[in-house]
Amino acid sequence: MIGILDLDICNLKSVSSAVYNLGFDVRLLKNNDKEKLNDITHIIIPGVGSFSNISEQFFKNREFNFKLNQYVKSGKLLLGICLGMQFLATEGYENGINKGLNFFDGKVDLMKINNKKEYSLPHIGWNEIQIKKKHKIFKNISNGSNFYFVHSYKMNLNSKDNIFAETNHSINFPSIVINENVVGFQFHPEKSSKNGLKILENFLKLKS
Amino acid sequence: MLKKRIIPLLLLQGDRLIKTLNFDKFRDVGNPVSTSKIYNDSDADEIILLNISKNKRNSSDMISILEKISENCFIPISAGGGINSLNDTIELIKSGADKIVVNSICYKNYNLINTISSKCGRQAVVASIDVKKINDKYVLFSNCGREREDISLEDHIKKLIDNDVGEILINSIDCEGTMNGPDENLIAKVCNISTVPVISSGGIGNYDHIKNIFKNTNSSAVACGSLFNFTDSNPIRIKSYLKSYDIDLRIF
Repeated sequence: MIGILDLDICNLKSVSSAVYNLGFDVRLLKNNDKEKLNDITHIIIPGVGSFSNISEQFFKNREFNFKLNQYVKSGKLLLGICLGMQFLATEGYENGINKGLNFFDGKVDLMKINNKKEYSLPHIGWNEIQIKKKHKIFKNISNGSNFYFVHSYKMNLNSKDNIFAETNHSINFPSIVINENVVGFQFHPEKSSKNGLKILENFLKLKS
Repeated sequence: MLKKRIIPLLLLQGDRLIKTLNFDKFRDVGNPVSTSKIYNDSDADEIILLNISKNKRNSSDMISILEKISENCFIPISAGGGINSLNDTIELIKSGADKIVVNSICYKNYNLINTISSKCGRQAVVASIDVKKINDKYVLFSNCGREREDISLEDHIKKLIDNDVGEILINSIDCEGTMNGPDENLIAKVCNISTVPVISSGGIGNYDHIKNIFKNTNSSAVACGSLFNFTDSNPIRIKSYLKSYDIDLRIF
């Protein structure tokens, strides 16, 4: 069973339709005391909104935070999409300093654009990924494949070891990060046509 | 560098897709849900769905259609037609739209764009502008081309940008549906004024028209209706053609 975290701040329909179309069953997860993760093999944190908002909503419930950490420790899979990926870092600098999940050692800050004439923020549209390291997530995905991005902030990791793909928008930023069983996509796989569904399927087929 | 985009433009009347000629002469061209699925499968970069029903428009009419489209469409979806409030916008986004398209309401209330932008992000707001050439001057029209507006093209675009619009969709009423080629001067003019991405539409009838827009202007995307409705073209064929002309598109 695939769990999608529902923090009541964004539309989850596209993500759940994509997962469902790939032949997996979906359950929406609420961050309350009652939620159980026993039957869940993969959790997706979708993200639209701001870092401060997701941080505030998520940390409302300590019990769920504890369960999610236990879940990750057990080796089961976690995917953050866009803001959901950024939320996997230690902290974010959007609307003040806010706490993240700390599965990646680093912070999230505004992209610094050098050439403002050619590049603008937010970074919206189809852009290429440059694969930096081999991984099962890239099965049938070639270097330079296009994905759909919508964001103004980027993840800054203290170590390059976890960066599996980068994308350039005036500067290079991490577009895929992986730390063992925790994965982050800066782009929206559910909006990235065939490549998006392929890479999402690759994630859903990863085994804990 | 971001890729140039090819966007099918779908016009909705009731629960059917139609195509117009100079904003008039409606012709039925199919079912919105199955058509969107076909565009999704043929490598469209995005789709734009506009409700242009002649009856009193209400953005909630689109909601059930949008929900069905988003179940099978894994590319960005823009939706508009009759949006009058922040609430309309939120309803559309909840039903599967990634961006909303506003037009007539802008002239009455520029501030609404700002409100939507700060709530949903500026990437979610596309302003559509309908233009007709009268005595060699570009005149703006609202309400599906029925009402003339006094503000100049330049002032209108500046106001939209001051209010944090994310993109501009430009359409020429004179060219729309003719397939005789777009008004390149209009597109170039809008691209020069605008600091946000411009989507060009109106009059595109063959692949060279698209090539010329990308070669001669700074347009970020083209949106076509007739080319997809009345010929055997699809986004894959367009991209295969444009690839030979050094235009940076999403091929895979």
